[in-house]
Formats: sequence, structure tokens, C-alpha cells
Amino acid sequence: MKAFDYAVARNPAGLAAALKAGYTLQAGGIDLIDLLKTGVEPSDRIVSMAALDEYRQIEVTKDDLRIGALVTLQTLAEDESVRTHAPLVAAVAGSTASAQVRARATLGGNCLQRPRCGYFRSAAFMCLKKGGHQCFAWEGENALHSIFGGGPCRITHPSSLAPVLVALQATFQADNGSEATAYAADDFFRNTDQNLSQEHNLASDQWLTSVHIPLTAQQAGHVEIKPRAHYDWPEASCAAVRTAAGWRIVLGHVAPLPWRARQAEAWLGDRTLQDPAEAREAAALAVADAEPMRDNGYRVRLAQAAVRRALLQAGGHPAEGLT
Amino acid sequence: MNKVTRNWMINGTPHRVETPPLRRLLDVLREDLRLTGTKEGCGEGECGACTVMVDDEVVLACLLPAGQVPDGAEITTVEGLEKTPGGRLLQEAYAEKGAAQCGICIPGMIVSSYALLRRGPLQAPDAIRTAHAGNICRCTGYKKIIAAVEWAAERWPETVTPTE
Amino acid sequence: MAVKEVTTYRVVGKGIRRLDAADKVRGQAQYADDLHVPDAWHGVVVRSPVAHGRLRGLQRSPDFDWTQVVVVTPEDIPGHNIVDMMGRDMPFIAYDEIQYCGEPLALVAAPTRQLARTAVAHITPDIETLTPLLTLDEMVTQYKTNPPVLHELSAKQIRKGQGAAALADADIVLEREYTAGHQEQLYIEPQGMIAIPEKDGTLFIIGSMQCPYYINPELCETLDIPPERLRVKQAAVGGAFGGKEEFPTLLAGYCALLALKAKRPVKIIYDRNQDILYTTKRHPAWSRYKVGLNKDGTLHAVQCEFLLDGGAYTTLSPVVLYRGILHAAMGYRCPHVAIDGHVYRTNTFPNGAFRGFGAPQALWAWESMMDELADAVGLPPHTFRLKQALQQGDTTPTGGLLRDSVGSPAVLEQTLARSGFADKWSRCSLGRAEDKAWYGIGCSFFAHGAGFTGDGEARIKAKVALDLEPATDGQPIVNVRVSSTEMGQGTCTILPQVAAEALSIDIAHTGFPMPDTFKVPDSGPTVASRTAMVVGHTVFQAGRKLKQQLEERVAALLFEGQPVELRENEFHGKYDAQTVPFMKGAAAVLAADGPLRVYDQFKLPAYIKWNQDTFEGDAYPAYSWGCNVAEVWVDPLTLEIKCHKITAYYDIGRVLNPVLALGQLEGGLIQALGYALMEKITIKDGKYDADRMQTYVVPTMLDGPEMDIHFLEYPYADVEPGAKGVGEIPMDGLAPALANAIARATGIRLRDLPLTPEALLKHGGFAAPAQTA
Repeated sequence: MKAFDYAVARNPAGLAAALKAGYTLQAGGIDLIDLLKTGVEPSDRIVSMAALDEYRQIEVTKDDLRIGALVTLQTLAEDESVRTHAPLVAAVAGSTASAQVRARATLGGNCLQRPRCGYFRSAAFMCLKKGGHQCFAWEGENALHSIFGGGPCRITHPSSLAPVLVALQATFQADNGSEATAYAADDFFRNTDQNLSQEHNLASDQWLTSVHIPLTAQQAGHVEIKPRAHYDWPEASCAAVRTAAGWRIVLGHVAPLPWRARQAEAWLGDRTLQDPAEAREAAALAVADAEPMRDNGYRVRLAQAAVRRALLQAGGHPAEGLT
Repeated sequence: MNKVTRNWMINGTPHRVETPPLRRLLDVLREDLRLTGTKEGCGEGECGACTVMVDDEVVLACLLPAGQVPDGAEITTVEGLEKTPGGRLLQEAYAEKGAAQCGICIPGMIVSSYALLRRGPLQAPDAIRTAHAGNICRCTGYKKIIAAVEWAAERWPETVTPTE
Repeated sequence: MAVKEVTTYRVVGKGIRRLDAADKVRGQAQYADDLHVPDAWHGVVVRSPVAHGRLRGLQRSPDFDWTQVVVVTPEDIPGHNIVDMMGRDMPFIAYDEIQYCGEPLALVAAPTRQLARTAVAHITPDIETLTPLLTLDEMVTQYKTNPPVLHELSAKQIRKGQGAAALADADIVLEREYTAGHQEQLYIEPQGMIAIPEKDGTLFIIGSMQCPYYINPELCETLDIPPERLRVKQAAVGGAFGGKEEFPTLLAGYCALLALKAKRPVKIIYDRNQDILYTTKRHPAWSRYKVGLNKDGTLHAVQCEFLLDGGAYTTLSPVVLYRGILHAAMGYRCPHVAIDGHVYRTNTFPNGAFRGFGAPQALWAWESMMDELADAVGLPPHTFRLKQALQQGDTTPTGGLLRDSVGSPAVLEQTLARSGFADKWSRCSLGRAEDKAWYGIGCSFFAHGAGFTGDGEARIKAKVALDLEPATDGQPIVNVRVSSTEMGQGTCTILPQVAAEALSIDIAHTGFPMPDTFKVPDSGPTVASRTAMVVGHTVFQAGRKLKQQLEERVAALLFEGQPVELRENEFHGKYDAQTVPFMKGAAAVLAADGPLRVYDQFKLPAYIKWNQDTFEGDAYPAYSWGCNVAEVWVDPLTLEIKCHKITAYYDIGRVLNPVLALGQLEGGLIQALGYALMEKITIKDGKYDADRMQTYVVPTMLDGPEMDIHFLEYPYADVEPGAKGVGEIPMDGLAPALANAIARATGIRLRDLPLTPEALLKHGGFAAPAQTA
């Protein structure tokens, strides 16, 4: 590791000043040492926002559930108001990583974590995302890479919470010390053809302060598929939520950002999934435009199963799959 | 790099630590304080051998920059367990049930057990498995560890006072 | 069936708490990295970046101040630049041809690890790159098309009856191929070693190891040091599983060479990434069977080709091969057998010892084959196995006679009955489209040779000592002095149990100090499921000797010459009711005579006949037996595989400590579950691609199935107390039982380990996802 400067922000103004001075932001710090060790994170100046307790609040208003960016996954899993008003969020938080990680990892950090792509994480590969000239996944080992979203870079978005939040139409609240900005769910994450260096739309002087989840869900389901180890990253997930405006079906871990299955959403319209066959039909449509590579065809199958099962769950049908 | 000073209560004893803030808590414990009970198995948060408690939460000392542990934090490592009735009960349980084989995962494993049981009676049927899923043991197949935690959980309310 | 009459034991057979439990649960056990050696420097290895090449030279950058570090190159090696293992083909430090990626080119030590690494970054090797052979797949392709290009590290064959020629007479002949990939031991304590040059010229090596008497003498030739000046001591070992059998010699050598040049202690503690990349793994294996059956479903002839990917150098591969081929057609009656085993070089780190030592690879294929054969003759797999399971009086593929202590077919019958196998087997899913989840059940049946192969035990003649000496508190204690090590499996408890049994004293009066070659005789390496059987027996004999000597001395000192018997912790006079507690009697002997040591040595029974050249005779003194039944669910959509229950019976002879023995079986089965279903390493650019715990995934507490495990004790009559082996056998049978279960669940036979959803998808010809109802 290089020599580092490390600052702890005592208030939002201090954080804003540090970011303007080029410091890199850190929340729970779960991934920081690894990113520094492997040289993926080139910054030698780190500012921690961990001391900013104002971002650890959970609040319920008549319209929404507001969760501070520094709320830990463990709190998300256990907090009564989250369990009541956003049960999908509580469930996902509780099944992510290990107890030790859940105790430190934050909502913001989970949404903003860097991709797990082996090429990106390896010091030996100067990949496109790190400023190199090529995404090695296209020709290389790509079992764990994207099946949606095209390129140029074939990462998958690693966050387990992000697909759920996007499905719930959460807004992502950001600040830069002088001005607050609210990003709509569909405007917060971005694909690699829009920007290679980061997976979200925050400006370099902005930080995530909270996430607001509207209390409008009428039906909801969520499924994660982890064929290897129970506590690892899923290989596919799906969050399906119906509001008065219709369905939002969002796939996780299969695209560079939480991936909306728009064809399936459109086909479902305002159906309430009384008939389980509707879930199967929608699931087939959800993966109709998948673009697997040499090694990751299996993920298409997983994505389809995730959509189908999330929809069955949302429709109140008996659960499928191994328990 | 600049150093930071932290005053921590480690296993009930006050310690003043001066360290570069991005140094891992694990290195501060093992190298500066010679608390070598806490182990490094993987250095990337996967094996759980470095599990310690910071203010009632289990954390991975190999991922945690020391600078992120605030002044006044209470840190409990495997060496601190025998100072508490619950810790001693768990040690007895692990020994009695044959839960320690090579023993290298045990310092982290037993801290996870301690943190779990301190939180009160077990609620979910898979509470023990879930709480220890981040602690890898390559020897035991986990069965005897689960048996030890169950054994301690059954006895916990009788022997451990709430003020522990 | 001759089951040895059960003797009543006082200490043996009890689930006595481990002697090291208190230290381990308190975090007090001292592993290599916990040892405080204040002035130790840190060693780092300069490694080859290519898998195959010719070293032209090493450039040291002038930008670095080389006076702050010590660099060792081949010229600095006092003795021969060779690792004194089988084959003698591996240099300690490469100087010409480079055979694997990561092969040492030089060693560096510095006051801090960081500085040592910086120095390494300033050394640039100049290498002419050659074409490597990297994978088992490439090796097998060459074997089939152009075998002379392969570099053979070892070969051995077995012939029984007419061999392969008998296939011509068979009614049905079935041919199948199977492969198994690398497996990483993944002990949670990475490799670590410290070398300390002592003032008296002794070199002291302490660290994480299974076999202190491998390092001495193996290092003597390299260091040009007489054995009596090389002291090797074991620190607490945080798991080994074979991974700390032969490899520690290399690490000890790196530390020793640096320490001798730096004239100060040098330690090397690998981090996880180095440990996975640059230490041994289980040999990848390929098996091809041609098996001939009679119409009635009995085995007529077995032909097997068994290939191991040896990695770059010979090391222990020949012995792994031997154990592999000896298990490749074991378990069943068959008059004609031809097995040809080969180990070939690939340009990867030398593969080595791992729990099971070739047997799991062989049995993976053989027990999968048994199910395929049963299918071919239209018999259920359990019926097919029961029809021809070996029994007492039968002969093995090498013609060895199963004389006694034969748990077959009892373990097979019992496991089948307890698991309800026949009924469940008839109700498996076989990939039925209408099933929401596919159920399958499968079994495997196997023997595992206990102790060294053939006459190995006769050659090594395990030596043990028992010391009656004062403990740190001054009280008498009987210390077991052996080179057999504790690495989690329970040696430190079972051997004191055996000693206490032989002496008829309480286990509290016994101890097991960490093995130190300056203090313990050579009881052989801690490998091959031999500790309980061979070393245990020898400790028992020594215990009996010590008992007799103590009785004589206590009779003279405290009973005025009256004959005395040491019984249940007391010395009893023959003629009167006088008794003296053991501790009092022992203290009197210590006070009068000083410390007392007795030795004993293992003698292989004379009837064990083995021809190492022809591989004929009694391959092992005895066999443990086991049967695994695995039950699985497979998700028809995601093809996820979940094993929810394992039922198993084992005959491991006398069970010395049921808690520890069960711990071995439970832990071994979960390690076998990882081998079967999740642990996977492939080679990418000459390197292992799964090089960290995030990518090399092993079972967690959430992954374990229900385990219903039982013992059937058929004690081995030639040893006291009659133990066979338990360490390796849990690794042997789960992979084929799972493959057999998956085949019954899905209708798909997988022939490559690990068994993954992707493999089911690839081989299954399943409907494209869009059509799946």
C-alpha cells in the first residue's frame, strides 16, 4: 500500500471540504483495505464519514421510509420499521454476506461497492474500467460476468440491495455540503457505456445521505440464487414490485447496473399474477434479450428462475426451489 | 503517514494506542499489544478467524482500519472471554463438546458465539448457523461447534447476569 | 464372523476431553505466527513469473540499497541444491530449467516484510520462455495421442489373474472415463516457519508441520549440516490435512538458508494468497475403466488406467499413486485385475499429500463406475454391491488375504438398512419434468488401507518413548514422546489415553509435549491413517514396559520387595491390602532413580508379505471400511444441488475416543462435500485462478447436511487396543455417493469433479430455459 492520508469527517461541511480537495470517500470501510491492497483504488487520501451519525437515522413519514446511508445491514435486517414497511430490504440485508460484515457494512456502501470482477480486482490486469484498453471478460473467463447491458465493460453490479431499491422506486438522496440532490431510482445507477470509472451518477463532490422508499408497493417478491456458497454474492437475483402504476421487475448481479426487465414489465401490465403461468411467461420474456458469453449461459437460466420465483412470491403462490 | 491516538478498553483494560489510521486493527492487536489469540486466516474477511467484538458488534479485524475504531470503544478478543461468565461458559462448552480440533478458527468462532448469545435467547431456528456462517472451520464439519453453542445457550440465563 | 472379544477398557473408548482444549478455547495455543522471536527477519521468495522456461540470470536493480537485506541464490547453498525427497529431481532454488510458475529463483530476508518485498520487486529474472504443459486435460490428450512426449514421474502396475485379457470372456464390457480436479487443503492457519541459528551451531527450526522427521533429515544434505545439529520442533498446527506433510521441508529450507546467511532468525509466514498459489494440492486424476461383467452381474475383469497430474516434480507422487491404484478396484471380489498407474509432469506446483492420498481420486471413479455397471446389468446399485462385497477370507486385487477385522459387508448392510436405501432408491426423480424438485439417493462402499503401504511399517519401525519425569509443577507425569503430531485430529489425546490404559493410570497423569526431534524418537510421519493403529500400539507396548518397571521399583522402594501390581491408579501389594496411589509411587521412583524412559518399537506381523516390485501380497496390515449414503435435492430450474443428508457406517477398528473419532468423520465428510460439490481451481496463465478464499469456496456452517454416522468396531487383532485408521477414510466415498445420487435425481451421470450445476446444464440436454415449464 502507498502512504495514505486518512481523515475522519466531523460534520458534513468537513466532508464536503475533503471531497473538494480530492479525498476518496469511505463509509463502513469493508472493502477499502482490499481495494488499496490490490491497487484498484488509486487514491492516497481517504476521508471517512463513519462519524456522521445524522446518516444513521431511520424515519417513517406518511409517504415514505427514509433510511440513512450509514445504517448498517444488520440494523436494516432487524429494525421494526424497515421490516414492516420494506420487508424486502430487511430480508436482503439479513441474507447478505456474514454477520461480521453485516455489522459494519452500510446501506450506502452496499449500493456503491465496487464490482467483484476478477480482472478489475487483480493488479495484474489493467482493464478498461481501470483506464486500460480492453475488457478481458469478453475473451477470457466470463462465468461471473454480465448477460445484459452490452458493453463495453462486462461487470455485474455487486449490490444486493440496489435491485430491491430500484424495484421499490426509491430515491437516492445526495448532498455536497451546499446543495441536496435527489436521484430517481432509474437515474442513480448507470451502465458502462455511460461511464466506465464509476457505477453511479454521484458527482465527485457528492455523497449519499439517505434513501427514501415510497410506501406504495401492493405486491412484492424477491429471490436470490446462490448456487455456490450461502454467504457469497448471489449469481442472480430479482426484485418484483407492483404499485398502482404497474410492475417493476429488477434483476441483480447479471448486468453492470440493476437491470429492469422492461419487456416482462410491459407484458404483465396490471396483472396481479393470480395465475402462476403468468409468472412463467414473464420470466421467459425477462431473459429474451440476454446476451450471454462463452461461460455464463448458466446465468440466463438463473436469471429466469429468479424472475419467475420473485413473481410467484409476489403473487402469493407456494415457494419453489430448494430450501 | 500521520498517526492517530486511540484510547480503547480492550478486554476490560484501558489501552492507549498510537498507530497509522489505516493499519488493520488485527495488526495493532497482534503486533503492538501481543494479543495473538486473534488469528489471520485469509486477510480478506472471508474466514472469520480474526473476528473480535467492537462495542457489542462482531467485526473482522483484518478489514477494519484502526482509525475507524473510535476513541472509547470497547474491544473484546478471545483473550477477554474468560473474564466473563458467558465467555467461560462458552469455553467450557467448546471444550466439553469437542468443538475445537486444530483450534485456529476457534478464537474467531467463539467470539461470534459470545456475541450471539449475549443478544438474548435464540429466536430463529437457524440463528446459530447464520451467526457463524462467516467463520470457516476446515476441521470439525461444524456439528460439534453447533452442539457447543446450543449447550451454552441452554445454560446461559442461569449463569450469566444481565449486567455482565 | 470373528469379532475380537471386547476387552473392558478404562480410558480407551471414552470421549475424553482433548488435552489441548483449554489452551485452544482460550486463544493461548501458540501457532507459528504467534511465536515472538524479537530479532527475526522476514523472508520472501523471488518467484518465476512463467510456468516453463530457462533462467538466464537475475538482475538486481542498482536503485535499491542491497546492504539492508540478505539475498540467497544457489551459490549460497552450503550443500547440494536439491530437495531430498523421492525422485531427487527438485532443486531448492531453480538455476536452469524452470518447471512451474512461482518456482523459487532466489530468497530475500529483511528486517521487515515490506522491505523484503520491496527488494524482491527490484530483482528481475531473465527467462527464456518454453511451452508449458499445464492441465490434466492437456496431459490426458497427450496420453491418448502421443504419450512419449509426457515426462513420467512414476509408474506402477497391479496384475491379478489373467488381467485385461480376461475382458474377452466377459458377457458385458463397459468403458468409462472420470476426472477429478485439484483440491486445496485450505487449513485455516497458513504455512509458517522460523529458523533460528543457535550459538552452539545448532540450527533450530520451529513451525507449522506434520512430520518433524521429514525436515530432519531432508534438509541435512542441502544445508550440509549433520542431523544432530538440526533441531526441529512443531508449533501448534492450525490444520494440515496433508498440506503440511512434505511442503514444510521447503519452507524450512527457505528460512534456514536465509538464517544461515543472515546469521539471525528468519521467519516466513505465508499469506493466504501465497499459500494457495505456492503450496501443494490434491493431485488431479483421470481414470479409464474397462470392466467385464458376467451375465449374473458379478465382476469378471477390471482394467483400469489411473493417471495423476504430478505437478512439476516427483516429491511424494509415487506413494500417492500407489495408494491410488491399491484402492482403484478394491472392495469387491474380482478374479482378473489389471491396473496401470502413471504420474506425469505438468508445469504447476508439485501436487502432494492431501487426506486420502490418492484413494479419494481412485474411489471417486471406481464407486461411480460401480453404479454404472449395476445399471448396465439392470441391477439396483445396492444389490450389485452386496452381491460381491469382499468378506473375510477373500483376496484383494493384489492377492492379499483379508484375515480378520473385516467390517465388510456389515458396514454396507447396516448403512443401506439405516438409510432406507432400497425403498428411497426406487422413488428417485430421474429428472421427471413434473417434479418441483428432483430427489436422488446414492451410495458408495470402500475400504481404506491403514498404515503405510506394503512393508512400509516394517522398514520404518516406529519408535516411541514414554518418560516418567517431573512436570512443571514438580509432580510426576508420564509424557508420551513421539514424533507423531497433533494437528487437530487428536493425537495429543488418544496417545496419552493409550498410555494411561496400558499403565492403568488416570489420563490426568499423562502428557503430550510438542514433538521436538531433540527429545522424541522417530515414530514416523503423521500420515496414512497410521497414528492410532501403529503408533498407538507401540505406545501401548511401551506403557506395559513402563508399568512393569514401575511395579518392580515401587515394590522395592515402598513394599519391601512384595510383588506389586499397578491397577486403576494404585499400586497394590500382592499379599496384603496395602495400596499406594500412583502419584506417590511414581514420586518415590523419581526421587530414588531420577527420570525414567522406556522405548518400544513397532514390529509388523511376520505373516504380512508384500512384494514392492510386483505389487503382490498384503498391501496393508489392515483396512478400515466405510459406506456413505448421500441424499440430494436438485432444483430443476437452477440445477442447484443440495445434499441434505448423509448416512454412514465406519469400521475403524477399536474406537479410541468416540468424540474425536466422530469429529474426524464429520469434518472429513464436510471436506469431502466441498471436494464433491464446490471446490474448484482451474489454471489461468500458468497460475491457479481461485487464489483467495473469496474465489476458492469451501463449505460454511450453512452448507452442512444432516449427518447420521455410526461405528461398527472390528478391532484389529494384531495391535492393542485394536485401532485401524480414521483420518483419511471420511474423504473417500462422498463424491461418488453424491454423483450416484445426482444421477438418480436428474438422470444425468456426471463424470468430472466437482459436480456443479453448470456441468448438469452442459451434459443434461435440458430444455432451453425459455421452454422450461
